Amino acid sequence: MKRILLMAMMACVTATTVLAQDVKVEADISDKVTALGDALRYTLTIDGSQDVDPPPIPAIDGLDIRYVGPSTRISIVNGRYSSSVAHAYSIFPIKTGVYRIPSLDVIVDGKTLQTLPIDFEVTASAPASAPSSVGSAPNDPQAAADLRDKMFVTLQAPERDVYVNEAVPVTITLFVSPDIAVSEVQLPQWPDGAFGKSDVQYRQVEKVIDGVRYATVEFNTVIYPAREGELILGPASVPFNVVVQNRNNDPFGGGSFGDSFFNSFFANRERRTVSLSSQALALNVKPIPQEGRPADFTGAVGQFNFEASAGPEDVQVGDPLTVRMNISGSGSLSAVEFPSIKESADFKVYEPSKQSDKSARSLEQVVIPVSENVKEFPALSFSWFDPSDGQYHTIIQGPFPLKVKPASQKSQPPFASAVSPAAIASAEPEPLGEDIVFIKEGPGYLRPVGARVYRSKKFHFGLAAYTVFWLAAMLGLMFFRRIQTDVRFANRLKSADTARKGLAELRRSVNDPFAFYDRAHTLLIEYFSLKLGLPPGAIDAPVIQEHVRGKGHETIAAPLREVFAECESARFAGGSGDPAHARECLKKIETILRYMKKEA
Amino acid sequence: MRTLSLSLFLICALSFGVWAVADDSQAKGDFTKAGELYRKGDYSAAIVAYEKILDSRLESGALYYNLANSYYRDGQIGEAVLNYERAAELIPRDRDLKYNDRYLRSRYPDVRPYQDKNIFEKAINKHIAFYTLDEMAAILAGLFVVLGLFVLAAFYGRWARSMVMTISVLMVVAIGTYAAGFVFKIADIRNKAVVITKASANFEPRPKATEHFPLPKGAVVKILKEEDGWMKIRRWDGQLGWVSAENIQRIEKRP
Repeated sequence: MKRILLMAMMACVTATTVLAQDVKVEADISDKVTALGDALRYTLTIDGSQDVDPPPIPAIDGLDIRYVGPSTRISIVNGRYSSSVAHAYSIFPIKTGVYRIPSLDVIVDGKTLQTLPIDFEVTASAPASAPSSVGSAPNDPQAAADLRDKMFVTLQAPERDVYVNEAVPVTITLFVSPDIAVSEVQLPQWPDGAFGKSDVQYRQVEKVIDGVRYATVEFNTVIYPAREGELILGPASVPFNVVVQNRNNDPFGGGSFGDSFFNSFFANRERRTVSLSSQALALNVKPIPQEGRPADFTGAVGQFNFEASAGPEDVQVGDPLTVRMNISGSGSLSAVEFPSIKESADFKVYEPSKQSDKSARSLEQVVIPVSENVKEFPALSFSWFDPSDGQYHTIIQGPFPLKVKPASQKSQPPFASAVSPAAIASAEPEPLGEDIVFIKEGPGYLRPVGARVYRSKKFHFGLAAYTVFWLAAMLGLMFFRRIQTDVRFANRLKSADTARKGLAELRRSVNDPFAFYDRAHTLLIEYFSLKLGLPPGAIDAPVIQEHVRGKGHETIAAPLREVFAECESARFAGGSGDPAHARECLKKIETILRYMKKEA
Repeated sequence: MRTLSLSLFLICALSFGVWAVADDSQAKGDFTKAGELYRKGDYSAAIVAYEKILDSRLESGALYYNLANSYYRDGQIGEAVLNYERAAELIPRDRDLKYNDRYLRSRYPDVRPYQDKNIFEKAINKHIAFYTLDEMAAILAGLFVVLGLFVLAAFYGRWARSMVMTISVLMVVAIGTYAAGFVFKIADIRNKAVVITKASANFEPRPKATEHFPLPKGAVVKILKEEDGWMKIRRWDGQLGWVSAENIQRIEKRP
């Protein structure tokens, strides 16, 4: 309650002092001169109020400015309350030059206050007093004055004059000057509306361009123009992190950690996500020529090989026959279509099963001859356009000879010319396709990677808590069991309780000596009855004194004798009614009981 | 009695609340998008999308299963086997997973599961493959709690000593068996790995050492030792060899 009152009083004091404060706005920057690759900290400090939104800083060409966040401070010095908030912005220069952060409007309690504009310079190399964290600044006098000269992305395609669906290799390269630390380079992204694309492979190499060495990440992929005309590829953007040092200015002093030693020792490094874009490329996409186009051409462009087989050769009417086709090579495999097998009077055709990998596609299809007059499975042909020679090519496989015998009596279909699948199924085991089961619709129970119950601290704590509970319960049960079964143990526990309660009663009745002595006598009889394990009727002063002497408790033999004598005197002979004597007697009883407790 | 109830509640609450609830709405959205890419047949993009969810440090049996399917469709058998194995640690009784795993191994006979020679090991493997580690931990904890309560009740109710001893010994044996299986499973997961790129197991841990036997993609091996970028492995038939760590990947993902 006292604490609540204190807090309420503090709140009142705070409220009144806030009203009394003057509001002041200051802008500050961590360095007036900095190098490319280092980040600056711009701090806007508002003294006298904390309820102030951070004003936006207008975009400035050559600077990447981001709001970092607020920090607040409250102080009470000599009873004077003050509060302030500091809004921090991180400034990352991209070009050299002299910049100005303009005056900003800060709205405090409905009033508009203005900061002073701040100028600073960004140089190509680091100032002597503040070494760059990104790496040593280039010593070359020709050092780049634009960070975009130190980090850039190129997009290259060896062929600009291509056909629709032709595989066009594309290389996207991220160039980074060795004095800049980058990490977590991600796969490039580009608008791919008019292009299909395959997997991206990447490798890291060093390259030298115009005498300047660069670390590069080279992404290689293949694209497939989806339509004719002039198509624009890119620009491709590559996101990655740049490690920069924040030149931090602590708005609240910094104390002993504000000196340059600690600033450099505890360098405030920041990962800043950057996404660089390449130039766009124009591709002239030509249509596939109509002249010489085979009838079975379905749009395959590239260099391919086609293989096909049908078997077994010896079958009965109604037996399944497996047709296998494989197309391999380089080109837009996803656009490749297999020669189609149409149902005819000779064959019943089932749905095909297709497989594909990076360099080949294969198909398996079950067909069933429905007549013994069938002598062969017809030829299969596959045509494609090869952009390297500008010609169409065709491979024909088959026809595949068959020896179809009449179906045996047991499995012969009732109407050979119109066999139903159900009839075939009843005659022969239906040839079932095999493949993996489809993906799952929902993600199920998502959990942190590697999180297992047995690694959880809570699980271990739960088991430990249960063990402690179990031990406590077991000890409790054993204790109560002993009280129930061990009379001496139970009496000993009870005697201590009797002594405690009896003494309390005696202290209350010490001013009434007659009642006091009566209770004192009863207490001693009860106490020693429990202590000696004898019934109260079988115990009196001589018995107790004999026991005390027998056990060697000579220390209390005399006081015990005196106490019993005083009790007898008061109870039966109307002895001393003086409370002072009763107090003396109480002390003796306390001494006796304390001794007995200790000896027990 | 009140104290007992309160304690039990506390234990249950702690046991079930072992993980903080993670914000998985983003991951669920990514999972749906990855499924759409798979349906369109863009398996490589589906792989990237599923891996992105794993990069956000979230996992599930269904996620590994779908990722394995995508790898299989994309022709990357090693990664497919690896992710089926990882899925099996989280959803061991899933019928689709069992079917796909069996189908993949039937299509690629070189991909053989790791097999222990010892009959005892086989029996334990079959048993522990039925449960996840979490389930085994929960069963062990449950048996431990029940045993403790049983002993308390027996002591309180003064039950017949012979009956109490018999039941207690049976429960202790059950707990011991489960604990052994639990420890065995942890060690098994920790040491199991899958060959990702076709490799060979050498007699010695160096590149130009004599080749002992080839290791096809997707082969499941047991790691016995790790030394300077090389791993001593045991193949399904008990053959030992050294393989470069770049070629194999452990099934266990550490938190």
